[in-house]
Amino acid sequence: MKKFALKYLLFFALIGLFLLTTLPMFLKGWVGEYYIHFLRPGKSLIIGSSRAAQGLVSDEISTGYGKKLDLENFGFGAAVSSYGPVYLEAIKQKIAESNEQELFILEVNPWTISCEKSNTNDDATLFPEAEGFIAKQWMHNANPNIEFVLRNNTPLYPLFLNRNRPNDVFSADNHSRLVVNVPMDSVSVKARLLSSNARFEFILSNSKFSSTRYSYLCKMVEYLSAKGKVVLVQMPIDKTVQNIENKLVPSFDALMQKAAAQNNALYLDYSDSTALALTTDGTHLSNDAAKKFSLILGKDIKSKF
Amino acid sequence: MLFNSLEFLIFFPLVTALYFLLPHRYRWLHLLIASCAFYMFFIPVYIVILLGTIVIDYYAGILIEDTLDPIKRKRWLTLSIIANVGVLCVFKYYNFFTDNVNALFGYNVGEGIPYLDMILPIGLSFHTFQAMSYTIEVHRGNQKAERHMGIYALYVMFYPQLVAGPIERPQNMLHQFHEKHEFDYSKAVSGVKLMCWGMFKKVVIADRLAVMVDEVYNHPGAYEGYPVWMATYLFSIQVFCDFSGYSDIALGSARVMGFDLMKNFNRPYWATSIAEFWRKWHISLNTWFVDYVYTPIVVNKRNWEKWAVVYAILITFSLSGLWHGAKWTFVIWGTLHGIALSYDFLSKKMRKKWSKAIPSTIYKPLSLFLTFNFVSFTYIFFRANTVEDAFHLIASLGKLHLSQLSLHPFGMTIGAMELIVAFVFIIVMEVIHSLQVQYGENLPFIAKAPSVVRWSLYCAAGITIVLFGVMQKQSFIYFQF
Repeated sequence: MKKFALKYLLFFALIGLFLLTTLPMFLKGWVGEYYIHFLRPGKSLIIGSSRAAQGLVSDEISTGYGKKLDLENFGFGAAVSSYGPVYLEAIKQKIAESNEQELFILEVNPWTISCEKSNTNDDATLFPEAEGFIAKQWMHNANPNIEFVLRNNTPLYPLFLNRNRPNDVFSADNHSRLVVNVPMDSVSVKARLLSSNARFEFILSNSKFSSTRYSYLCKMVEYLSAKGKVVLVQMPIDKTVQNIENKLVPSFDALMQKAAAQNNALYLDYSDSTALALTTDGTHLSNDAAKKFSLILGKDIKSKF
Repeated sequence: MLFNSLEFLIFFPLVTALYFLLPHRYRWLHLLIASCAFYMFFIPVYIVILLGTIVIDYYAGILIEDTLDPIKRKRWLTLSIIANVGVLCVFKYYNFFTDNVNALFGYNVGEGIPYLDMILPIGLSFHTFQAMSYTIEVHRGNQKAERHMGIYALYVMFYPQLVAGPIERPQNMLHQFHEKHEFDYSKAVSGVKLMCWGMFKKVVIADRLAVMVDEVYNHPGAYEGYPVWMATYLFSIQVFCDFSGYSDIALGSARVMGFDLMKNFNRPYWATSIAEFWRKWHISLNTWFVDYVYTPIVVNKRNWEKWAVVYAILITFSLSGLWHGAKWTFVIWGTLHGIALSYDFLSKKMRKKWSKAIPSTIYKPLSLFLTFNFVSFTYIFFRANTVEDAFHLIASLGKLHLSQLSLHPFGMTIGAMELIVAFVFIIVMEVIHSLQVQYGENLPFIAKAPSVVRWSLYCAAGITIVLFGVMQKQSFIYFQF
C-alpha cells in the first residue's frame, strides 16, 4: 500500500509540477480581462462597479491630481463588486501588502447598494457575489497568479495556443482599467441605450435598497479612511438612466453625504453633468469621455480635499 | 459530492487509506459514514428518506425470511415495494401527475391540485431500485436476509454507486461487505487507471460536447438543419461518455478498495440491433427490468405466446422511459425503443434470411449504421426540454442545406478549435476502446513497457485531462434520475 500511495502522490505531483512550470511561461498573453487586477498590491485603488472599471483612467487622474499616483483599478461589475462583505474582504487582501496607501476612489451608484426584492432579510450570503469569482479567490497579489488562471480558464489548452486576447472588444490597460471598444456611431449608441434602459427598468422592478450593502459601504469608507484619502464619486450618466436610478434609492445623495461625512471623506456627484456623459450605453463612459472625466476628477480631488 | 470535483480528489484517497488502515470489523462503519458524508454533500436532509427506506427494507427482508406463510411473505414484500415506489412517486412523479391531471381538467396556474415545491433527491431511482432488488431476491429465496443493519445500509448507500449506479444485486454485493479485502496492488492500480479513464470521458469529451449540445437544445428555435443534426449525434456521444465515465469512476474507486461492481457498458454504439444495444447499454438497469418486470409479465401472459413478449417489451420500455424522468419526452423515448425492440423480436426470422442473402461486409455495417441512427434519433426526445421542442427539432432536421456546413455550427461563441478537439478525443477514445477489446481492459502491453515509457504515458494522460478538460464541475446527466 505504501508503494501505491507513493506512486499515487508522485503522479499528482508530476502533473502539478508540469502546470507550475509551464503555465507561467504562457501568462503574458490573454487570460481574462480581470487577470491584471490580481497581480500586484495596490497603493491606491479605484473601487466600484463597471462604471469605474471602464470610466476611470489612472494616468489621467494622476495628471489632474498633479502627482504620479500608483492607482490600480479594482472595479469589476455590479454583479461582482457591489458593496458588501465579499468586496470589502477582497479590498483588504488587495492592499494588505502595501504600507503607503494614498488615495481610494469609490465609485457609487444606487445599484451598488441595492439587492433583489426576493432577498427579504437583506441577507449578505444571498448576494450574487457570494458565489462569484472574487469570493473564491485566495491570492490577490501574485505574479503570475496561477490560482486565478486555474480558476477562471477552462479548458487550459488555449493558453498554450493563443497568447493574444480573443477579440477586440475587451482589453485591460496597464492600470487594470477595462477598455471596451464598441462602435460609437449614434445609431449603435442609441440601440444600446434603449436596450440598457429596458434592462434597468426590469431590474428596478426586482430590486430594493439594501441597508446591508450600505452598511458595508460605510465600513469600507471607515476602513480605507484610516489608510488614506477616500473619495466617493457618482459618475456622469445618461439622464434617462438617472431617472430610473432615482426611483431605486431616492435618498441616494443624502446617504452618500452621510457616509462621507462620518469619515472625513469627500463625496463628488457628477450624475447631473450631462455634458460629460458621453457613454457607450447610457451608463459607461466611452474611452475618450473616460479620459476627459478622469482628468477633471483628478483636478477636483486635488482642489477639494 | 461530484466525482469530478476537488472535494472528491481529497475525499477518495482519505477514505481509501483509512479503509485499509482500519481493522476489518470497523471498515463497514467507516464506509457507511463516508457514504453518508458523500450523499449529504448534495442536500443533507434527504438522507432521512434514504435511512427511512433502509430501515423498512431491512426489517422486511428479515420478516420475509423468517415467515413461512406465503401470504405473509408477500405482504412484507408488498410493504417494502410500496415504501420504495411510494418515495419515488412522491418525490419524482407527484408533480408530473399533478401537471397532467390539472391540464386534463383545464385548470389554470394556481388552480387544481397543488404542486410540491421540492428538489428530487439525487440518485433516488438508483438506490430505490437496488433496495427493491434486495427484498425481491429474499422473497424469491435467492438471497439470505442480511441480519447486520449496518451492512445492509452500506449495500444501499455504498458511495461509489450510490447516486448513479450500477444498480447492484444483493448476490453480488452483500457478501463483499462481509469479506476482508487485503490491499491488492494490481487491483488498486487498475482501479485508479479506470477512474482516470472515466474522468477523461467525462471532462474532456462529455463536458466539452455539453456546451455545444446545450446551445442547440436550449434554443431550438435558433437552429435548423446541420447544427441540429450535429448536436443530436454529439449528444449520443455526450450521454455515453458522461454515463460510462461516471460508471468507470464508480467501478474504479470501488476496485481500489477491493470491491467488484458490475460492468454497466460494453461499447453500445457498436451494436448491430436494438436488442444488442440494450444488452450493452446501462446493463445493470436493463437486467433489473428484465428480471423484475419483463420476465414476470412474459410468464404471466404466456398464453398469449409471442404477443406476451411484445406486450412485456412495450410495458417494460415505457416504464424504463418513465424511470429516466417524469416527463413525456422520456416516456416517448422509452416507447420508441419498445416498438423497435418489438420489431426486432417479430422480424428475427426475416432478418436472419436477409443476413444470409446480403454479404456480411454490407449487412453488418448497415445494421450498425441503422441502429446507431435510430438510437441517436430517439435521443432527441431524451434530451429535448419539452415534447414541443423535440418535434420542432425533428422538423428542423429536414431543413438541411449545404450552405450550413461550417466549423462554427453552434455560433461564434463556440470556437472551431473546440469542435476539432472534441473529434480528436472521440477518435482517441474509440482507438483505446478497440485496443481494450483486443488486449484487455488494462492494456497489458503498457504494463509490460519500461517504467519510463509507462510513466510518460500516465503523465501524458493526466496532463491531457488537466489541459483539455472542461473543469466546470458539470453534474452527471444520470444524477437527475
